[in-house]
Amino acid sequence: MTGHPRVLVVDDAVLLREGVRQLLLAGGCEVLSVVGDVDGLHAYLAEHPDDVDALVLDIRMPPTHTDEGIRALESLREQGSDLGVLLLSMYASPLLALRALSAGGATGYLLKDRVKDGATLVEAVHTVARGGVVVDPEVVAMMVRATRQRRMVDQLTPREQEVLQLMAEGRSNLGIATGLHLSVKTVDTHVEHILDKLGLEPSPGEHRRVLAVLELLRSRG
Amino acid sequence: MYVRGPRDAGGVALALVVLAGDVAGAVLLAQALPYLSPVDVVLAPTVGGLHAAAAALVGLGVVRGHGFAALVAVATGLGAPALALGLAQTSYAWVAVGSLQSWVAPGVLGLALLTVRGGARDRFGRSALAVVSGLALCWTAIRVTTYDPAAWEWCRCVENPLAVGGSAASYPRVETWLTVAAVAAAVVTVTATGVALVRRPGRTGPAELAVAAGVATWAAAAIVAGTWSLVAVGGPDPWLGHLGTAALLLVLGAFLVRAAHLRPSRAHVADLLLAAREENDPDRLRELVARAVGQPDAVVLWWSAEAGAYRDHHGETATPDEVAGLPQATRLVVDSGDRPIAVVLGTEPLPDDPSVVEPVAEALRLATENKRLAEELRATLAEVRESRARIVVASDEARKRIERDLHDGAQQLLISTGVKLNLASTRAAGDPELARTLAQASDELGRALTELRQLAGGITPTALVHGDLGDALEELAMRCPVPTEVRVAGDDQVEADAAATAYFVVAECLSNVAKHSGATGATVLVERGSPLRVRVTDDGDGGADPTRGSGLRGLADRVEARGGALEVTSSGAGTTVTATLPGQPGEPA
Repeated sequence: MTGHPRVLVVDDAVLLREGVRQLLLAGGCEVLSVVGDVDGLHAYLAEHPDDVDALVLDIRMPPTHTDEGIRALESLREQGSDLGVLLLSMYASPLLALRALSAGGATGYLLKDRVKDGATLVEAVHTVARGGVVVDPEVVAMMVRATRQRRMVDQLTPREQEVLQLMAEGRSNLGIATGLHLSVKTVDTHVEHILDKLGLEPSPGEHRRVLAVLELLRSRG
Repeated sequence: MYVRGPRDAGGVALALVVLAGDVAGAVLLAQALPYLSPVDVVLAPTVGGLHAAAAALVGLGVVRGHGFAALVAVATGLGAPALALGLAQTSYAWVAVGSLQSWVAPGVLGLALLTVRGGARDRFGRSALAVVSGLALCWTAIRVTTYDPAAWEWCRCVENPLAVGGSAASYPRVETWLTVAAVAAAVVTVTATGVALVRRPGRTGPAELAVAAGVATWAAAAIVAGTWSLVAVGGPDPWLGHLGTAALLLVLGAFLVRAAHLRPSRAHVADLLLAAREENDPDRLRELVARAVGQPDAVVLWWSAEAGAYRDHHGETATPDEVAGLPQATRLVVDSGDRPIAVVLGTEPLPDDPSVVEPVAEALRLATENKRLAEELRATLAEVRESRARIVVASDEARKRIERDLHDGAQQLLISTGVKLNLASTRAAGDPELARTLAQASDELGRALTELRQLAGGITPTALVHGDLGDALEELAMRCPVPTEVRVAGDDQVEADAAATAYFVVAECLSNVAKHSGATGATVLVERGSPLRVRVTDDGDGGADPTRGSGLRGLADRVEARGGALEVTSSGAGTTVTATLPGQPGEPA
């Protein structure tokens, strides 16, 4: 399954969901179906409880066009579902990203703009399908730039700051090593230093690590 | 006490009996106690007699106005002690006669109120009069039924056949309480007179001041004498009592002067005209009208269009037919061309002098017109406020529509175009030229999308849907290129509408900070309470002017439409914008 995650696309915008479907197909995913609203999502999951590996879920959908997608995610998590869910959002909003990640599990928060770069979308779907966490780089950059913990972040070396940013985006140490062309062992050391300097407890699980970093970045000093 | 003076033989006869009693009291006292000084014997009966004579003149209608009962009460009360002492050794009636002395206080208060306020039905004055009369009644009843001359061994007085129970030993205790009651009556009397003077509409003349001075002197003498006898052995100096009695001549004189001037006068009409512009208390207007037409009891009924009748401020109504049925001379119907305004009803024919009647009618028109204009102004202001609120609501709805159109239309099309470019570029692997062009197009599309997102993001306070006001402002601060600190105080729930307004204020201010201020730092302070207050401060160059540029002006409109206020101070040391929003019960954000 890891090679070809089975994906359900939930979006009310016809053009967009068609584009997402084509990109996912081109990126080696299996698109089970596309539905236009939250009711369609629940109906599909009820009928095919074990078929889906990942959802691509638009946040803003009928009827109120505000936060239907996040609410659907929250209700899924309450029901105990550990489905990978990639949320598509209009807003580079740390608030929204944190709310989405706080639901727990394999969750991603990606700007809709990213959809046009097929590779980013496909990679994010793969990440959540195998239980990982994704946060849009723009959101993370915003938080690192404006963080209340400016002085703490300034203690970090430039390299450590790069590592921190990728950690917050949801990359694993292996992913960070690949992105920065470093050895995994070097990245491990960086991560250890970062957690130490920022006073964060090393936590198991990718999701909790990301959440801890994001909370630190936005906490009111 | 506002009983109309009886213009009949009975009233006059009563006044003459009281007068006779006063004279007899002086004579009997002089005979019984020949060693007394003439002042002790003569002063009180004489002042009492003068009050009785005045009562007779009122009864005869020589003096206009009321006050018959008040005059008789004073006359009786003042003559009572002398008559009682004169009778003490010969008739048991002396106890009953002596106990009438407590009627001086309600009589004095009645005269004072009539002089100062005419027939005004002032609630406080009426209550005070009722209290003092009640005290006098109790005083009389208790004294008659308990007085025991045996308590004073020196007195060879006839015993009191009405005394019930008690004993010679217990009476002094009762006497103490009677003294307290007398002091209380004096306090209430002087207080009520002072209040009537302060509440009197229009100017205050010498007669009113003389009454106040007379009442104050009388009451002071009574209070000092009463207190003295309570705390010291031996009675107070008799001159104190004489001073108080003499002061009542001042009250009587002022009352008679006021009664003699109880006729329409230009001064009273002028008072009414002056007051009509701003006076909206119907009670006081009535009093001024009554004074202007020279009839203390005259009433004013205002036309009520809903009721289709005239109505006074106590709620009593009279239909136009009923009014028309009253004698022509006692009514003054005021109208303004086509619609009725008010009617003045007198108890006797109103003056037929046009220099009185016409200004009175004009004053009533003026008062009504002013009231109507004030109400119209209030209604117009309320309408303006509502329409401003509607404009803000309409603009918010337009913003939501624009945002939705951007997302559902332009953004979707751009992204879908991007997808197609992306798919095309995978098939252009063999053609580097084409692949480069497609990549360029894709980049430009990306910039367009970012700009579109930033544009749409500022249109509506989306962050408020997902978090509280503090979170949303935190996010605004994160977007601001100038380092911005957000501080939140208080933990009251913020109403959704107020939160949205606060959000717009901070968004606009931070956008100004970034674009114009040259600041190196900014602070956003939120006080979550009632009212909700947000303050944005920067350390920039200042120069923000809410009268120029649409941004701050639009913010002020938005804030004021919600009943709040926007304050901008801008100087070389930076700019501070403070928005204060009144708390309203509603959905918390």
